[in-house]
Amino acid sequence: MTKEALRDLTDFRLVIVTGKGGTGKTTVCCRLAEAARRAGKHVLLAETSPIESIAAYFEKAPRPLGYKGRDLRKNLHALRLDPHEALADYVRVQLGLGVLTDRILRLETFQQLLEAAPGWRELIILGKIWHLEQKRDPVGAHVYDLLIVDAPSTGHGLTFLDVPRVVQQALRSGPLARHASWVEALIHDPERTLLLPVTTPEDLPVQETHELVSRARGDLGVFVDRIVVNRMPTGRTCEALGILEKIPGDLTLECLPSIPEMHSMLEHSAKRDHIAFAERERVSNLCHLPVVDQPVFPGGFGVDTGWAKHAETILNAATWPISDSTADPAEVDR
Amino acid sequence: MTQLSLDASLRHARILVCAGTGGVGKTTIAAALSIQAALLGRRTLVLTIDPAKRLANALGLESLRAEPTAVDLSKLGIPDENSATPSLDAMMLDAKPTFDRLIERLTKNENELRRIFENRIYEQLSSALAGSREYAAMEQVHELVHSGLYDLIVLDTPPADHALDFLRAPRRLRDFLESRFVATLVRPAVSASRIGMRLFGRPLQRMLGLLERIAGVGFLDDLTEFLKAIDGLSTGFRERATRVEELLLGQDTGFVLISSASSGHQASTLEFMTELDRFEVPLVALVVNRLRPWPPNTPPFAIRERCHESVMLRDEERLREALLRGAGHHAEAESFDAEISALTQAIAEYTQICVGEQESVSILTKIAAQRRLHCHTVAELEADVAHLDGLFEIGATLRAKPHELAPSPIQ
Repeated sequence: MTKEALRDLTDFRLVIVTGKGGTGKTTVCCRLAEAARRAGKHVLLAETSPIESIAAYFEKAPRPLGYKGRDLRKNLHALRLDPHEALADYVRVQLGLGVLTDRILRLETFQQLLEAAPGWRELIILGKIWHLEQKRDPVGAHVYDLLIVDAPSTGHGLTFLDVPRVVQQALRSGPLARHASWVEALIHDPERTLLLPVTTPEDLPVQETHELVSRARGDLGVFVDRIVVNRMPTGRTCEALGILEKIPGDLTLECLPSIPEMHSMLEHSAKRDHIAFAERERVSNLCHLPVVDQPVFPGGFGVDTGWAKHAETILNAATWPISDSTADPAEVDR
Repeated sequence: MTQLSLDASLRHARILVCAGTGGVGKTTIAAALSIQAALLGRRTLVLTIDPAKRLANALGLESLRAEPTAVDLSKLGIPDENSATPSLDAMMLDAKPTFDRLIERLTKNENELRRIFENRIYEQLSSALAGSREYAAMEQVHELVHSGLYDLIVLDTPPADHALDFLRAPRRLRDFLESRFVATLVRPAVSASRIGMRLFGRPLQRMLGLLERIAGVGFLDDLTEFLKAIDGLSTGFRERATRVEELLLGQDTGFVLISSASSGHQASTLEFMTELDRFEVPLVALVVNRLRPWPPNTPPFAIRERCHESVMLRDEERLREALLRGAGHHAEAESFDAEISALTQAIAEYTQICVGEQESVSILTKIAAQRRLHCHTVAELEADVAHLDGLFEIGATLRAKPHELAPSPIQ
């Protein structure tokens, strides 16, 4: 693996953000969307979860985005890729079938078939993403410079990207197989598409990221060039602990916790920080990929720290954690 | 029953399901609870999905396998409460082979089996079918409950974006197999001739036409062939799906809802709870996992409140004087500015995290109380659980004391 500078995230056409549940995919998506928008890109941000959460990042009283979506900011359009609406859309627009299909789509039997049918949601959603990527304005320019997809979490996420391939295997002919091949071409194109794994510096998410990256390089064939390590501690703890050690334990303070209390707080942080740094190094080593840190931003006392303020940190250059030991963090722990 | 409790469930339930959104530590809690149950003298099995290597190590196992493996609890050196040797098995759920095995079990002859496995649709159905993984998991639980080998099965649930995919799975599969669509395709007289389809009305006929237009020629044939092949099995399928559902939503099952302590997470936990309600799931306890320890006696929000600018300045002055005294007379007071700000920022960060977490806990505790449930908290450990005694401690805390409603700014 060469350690040359990576492309800017905003230079891709499609960034698919995934990771283990609870690692902060949506926050990463919103930071990237906001940063790209500020850089002057026309951004489309798409969520795939049935429960919307993106609007809440941008609005105090969030309104649903829906399938059509709306502009959350200048140059930032967001929508929810609802599979049922996407299917109706597909049948009507892509296949050019008429109004009658609406009735079919609403049939209870058809709904049941959909409920049980494998992979159709993923395929239809990916198809819609492909369609949005292709979308051009009257002058022929791309409507969106950058599409960001808040993909399902890994486990589900892997099936998500694998579906076009599976569909082509299962179907012998017909428009669906053909469309699946177009979708696959987009996903496999390293010039246009990047898979962006998000992890936290913890054991299981790191494990899952490793599996994700291995599969991305293997049967999924999706380009991946960096890992986002979310909720990285700032590393200030050790410094603070060192300062605390120079202060007598019986110093009386007015509002801060006592010196021994602060000591025990920082000791705890320091131990957790140690694990976090070891896990960050582990994920980089396992995947042979550089990492982009996303620090925790709880802020100071009474400081309002919105995610947007730090949006640009997602565009920071990916770095290689310096490895001076190959020790397994599991062993370092005790 | 009065207030439901985790302790009672550990003693009497037959299945304990650990549910919650991704990344909250379901697997660890499941393992911790199973140790407690085993120590109570119940023959216990903990069934986990995709556990961390470290958790397997913590259970004293090299790796978790898809068959029950005994966990050696004697290392704990704790006399169990029922004086019998505690029995705990751990096992990993392996969904894909299970689904194959299920088909194998339900299939009567070799030919039929080959026909199913070789079908193009089957491959897709078993690996990608929404919920087939979950369905297979439920199947396995059913099998294990009826094996008579265990008094209690503690079940870790698959990560799911949508809270209860695994609960919905059996019902979904059953509905599909009972649907008119399937009935139409598998009746030989009907599917043999397209004319026969007219009998089933034009909408359905149109639907099949549409399917063929989208999916291409051959798709319906493949699908029909597959459905015919499993038609013989579907009665068995249906019955099992119903039984699995009854088992999971029955009286002998308890659900433990696990939430992360991090602020803002309570919203998704509440959503999850609403969804559990929709299934009338028997919830027995709420667990807030990995709460950051707060050493001071004064609650974090009170510290944050009183750290006003002017008071803070006086504290910073005191710290500066202390540092000056320590450094000797030639040090400049200003040279400590950076150090003091590093210290107060680190403390502010820590406090802020704890404020958020404790707000989250107090909201969840109140909601739990309304439903006569206990809310338990588990403190974040200094290191990830790597040993059996770590799991034991977590379990003991869970059994011992639910979280009491503490004064908080929310009230």
